[in-house]
Amino acid sequence: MRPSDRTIRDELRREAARVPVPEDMWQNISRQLELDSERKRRRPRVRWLSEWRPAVILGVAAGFFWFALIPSLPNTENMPDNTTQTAIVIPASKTEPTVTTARSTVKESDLDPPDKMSPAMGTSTGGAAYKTLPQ
Amino acid sequence: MVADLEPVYGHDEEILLIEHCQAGDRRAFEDLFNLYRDDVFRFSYLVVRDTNLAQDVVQEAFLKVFRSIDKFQFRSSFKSWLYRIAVNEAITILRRKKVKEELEPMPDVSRERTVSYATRDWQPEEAVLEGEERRILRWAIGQLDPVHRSVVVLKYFHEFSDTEIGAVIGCPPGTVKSRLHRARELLRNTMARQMGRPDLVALSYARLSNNPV
Repeated sequence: MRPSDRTIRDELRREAARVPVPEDMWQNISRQLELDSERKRRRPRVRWLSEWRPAVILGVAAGFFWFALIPSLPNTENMPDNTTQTAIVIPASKTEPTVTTARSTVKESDLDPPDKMSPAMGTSTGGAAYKTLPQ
Repeated sequence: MVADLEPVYGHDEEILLIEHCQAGDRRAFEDLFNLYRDDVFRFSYLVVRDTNLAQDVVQEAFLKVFRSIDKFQFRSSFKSWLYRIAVNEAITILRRKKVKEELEPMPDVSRERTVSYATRDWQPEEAVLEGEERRILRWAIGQLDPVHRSVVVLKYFHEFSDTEIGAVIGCPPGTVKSRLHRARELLRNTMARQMGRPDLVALSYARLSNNPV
């Protein structure tokens, strides 16, 4: 059953003839074109606004950098040049020096070599007087 | 590589009309629309097979044409440019709205045939069979994918040459030829399956595998 070219042509014509062409298409297109030209008329104002967009983005980025990133950076001004961030804290009232971390206090004998130490060390807990030693 | 389509209007008149459109003359837009409206609508309807969708295709296609007509540089014919936009728009709309290609389930042909013989016995047998064949053909055209259906409609309804179809869908005439061949084989295959002829389906598959597109 192979349809002949003539059968296909006739069938397509028959099908197309069944459907009337809608009359209101131009009205819709015209309305849309009207909206387009309205938009074009408004465009200069939008363009003026868009010129300021990079400046606004830059300002917001600078603000974000200042308020969010700067405080989270390490305070380098108070640090000696030649130090790591490890500190051994010796409580003045005790004879045995201890190294403190934010989480726990360990004895000196348990310490790793300095290069493996956590940079977060240096916060002390407990004790009356403390002395921070640079390594 | 591609040949241009003959304009509906005289060549010079059409150029003049397009130049007026490029200058923003709304009246020229309307004239150009009226010139091609019926053909583009029928083409769109035969591809999307739904009146409302066809209307959307026509409107979107013409809006695209009018919005970008200042970029049209007369390198191809306006007609092939317009049809290319309409084909793309039809495919886009079908994809976007996810229209199910099988618009209506095919009724049981054998039962219909019995009913036809019983109730329409005044008609000659050939006429009844021909009517059924046409109905199945119409359904089978609806089963083609939008690209093959566009090629079939341009070829058989608009009677474009292979070169002209190539200008519309943007491929060489050889590709158009092979697409048409594949479309015809798909039609034959679908119709044979629908009419309960598995031998023809098998033959069709064998031909398709020898001519992959």
